[in-house]
Amino acid sequence: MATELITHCESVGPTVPDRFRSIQLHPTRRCNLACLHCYSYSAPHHRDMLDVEATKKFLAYAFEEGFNNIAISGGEPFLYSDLEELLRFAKEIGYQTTMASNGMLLKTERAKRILAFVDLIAISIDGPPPLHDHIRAQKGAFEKMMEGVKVLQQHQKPFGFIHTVTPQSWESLLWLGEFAEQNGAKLLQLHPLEMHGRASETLTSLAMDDTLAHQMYILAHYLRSKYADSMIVQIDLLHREYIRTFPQVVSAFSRQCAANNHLSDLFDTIIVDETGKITPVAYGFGDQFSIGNIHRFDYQLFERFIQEKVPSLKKVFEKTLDKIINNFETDIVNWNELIVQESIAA
Amino acid sequence: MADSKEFEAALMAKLAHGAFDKTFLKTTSAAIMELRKQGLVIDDIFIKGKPRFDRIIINGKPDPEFFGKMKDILVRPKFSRFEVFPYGILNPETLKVQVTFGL
Repeated sequence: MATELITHCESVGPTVPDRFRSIQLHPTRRCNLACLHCYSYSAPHHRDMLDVEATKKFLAYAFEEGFNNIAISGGEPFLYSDLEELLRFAKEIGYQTTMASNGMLLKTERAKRILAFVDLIAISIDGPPPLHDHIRAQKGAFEKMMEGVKVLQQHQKPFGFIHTVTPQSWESLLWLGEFAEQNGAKLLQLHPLEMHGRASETLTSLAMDDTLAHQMYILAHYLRSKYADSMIVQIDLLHREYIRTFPQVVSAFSRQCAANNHLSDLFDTIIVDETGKITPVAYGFGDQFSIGNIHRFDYQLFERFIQEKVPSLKKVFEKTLDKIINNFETDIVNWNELIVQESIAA
Repeated sequence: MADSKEFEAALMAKLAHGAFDKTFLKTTSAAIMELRKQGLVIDDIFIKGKPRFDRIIINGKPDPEFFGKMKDILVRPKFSRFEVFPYGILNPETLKVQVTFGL
């Protein structure tokens, strides 16, 4: 199967028939919360927002280049004033639309109009109410989030929960699985805490260690099996030996389609931040690998990036893979965190 | 449900003890990974054995190529039992695999 996988651009794992080629949009870092683990330092005082016309122009270009999904994050997306216009446009030209939200601002008529253009919304949850409120730094945050979940339930909008796993929360994962399933979630995404942004200042004592990675990996697979019939449980961790066998799961350079010279074949995700900067792979990726800026781009942007920067970027992928595969001390890895670190060091 | 709660309580206790028993964590993660890698769609993981809950049992459905890779799976010394149900029928759609490792 491994040999066969490499010949198919659409497949990136033994059980995944197709893949999103996503543009992760951070249209604003403005947020009604200032969560302790926020990797983008989002907070109420931020005012920068993406220009909607420039964003639409870029989305049209990227769609022609093979990207098929937008994942809106932030900041809190519902605080982006042009969100409705942006999502309407994205749907019109054919994108699938997903969004990550804290779920606290869904009760307005505007929010309900916006939800009509969203295929799947992931609500962030940090554990049972006391832990959620602590991480969200706001008493009552859990209750307000649940009011948003009720709106989603009433409108039969497909939704999921996204949870950042910490040493404080891993023992609540069984509770979380049951909570998500009972509330009708279609997705439960488990993401390990990363020491970026505000977490690197406020949660240093909660850094992920090897023991926690194993605990999370085992429990997530248990939950995946337990809820196989009702929701998808996604875990953002991989076993070293799995990566060794299926490097194409994390690196398009291990797929034959890398030779197609399409940016959307090379990178499953590109990121646009609130300043318009476009980066590959993940938020916080090394500046030297910036693709460009949506406020000033031409239609050779991706082609030029491939010619000028992809050769050195390929080395970053190879080096990261090499380090993971040869580090026998660490079995379970967060690929995104490691490659971001490598890109910054390059 | 009662069985499920019992399994979960035992699993959590075992995992919570993981910092002191790294071998358990490493072998369990490796077993899950190995079976996923070979195309087994895992639909049940639980632990058995008293008094120390010393066995991990993984149930799953194989993909069509799974049995072609049996020899890769069986060389893993951690797997103490490998059973296919029902016996003697070679249509992967109808089979379930149960792997036990530990004592």
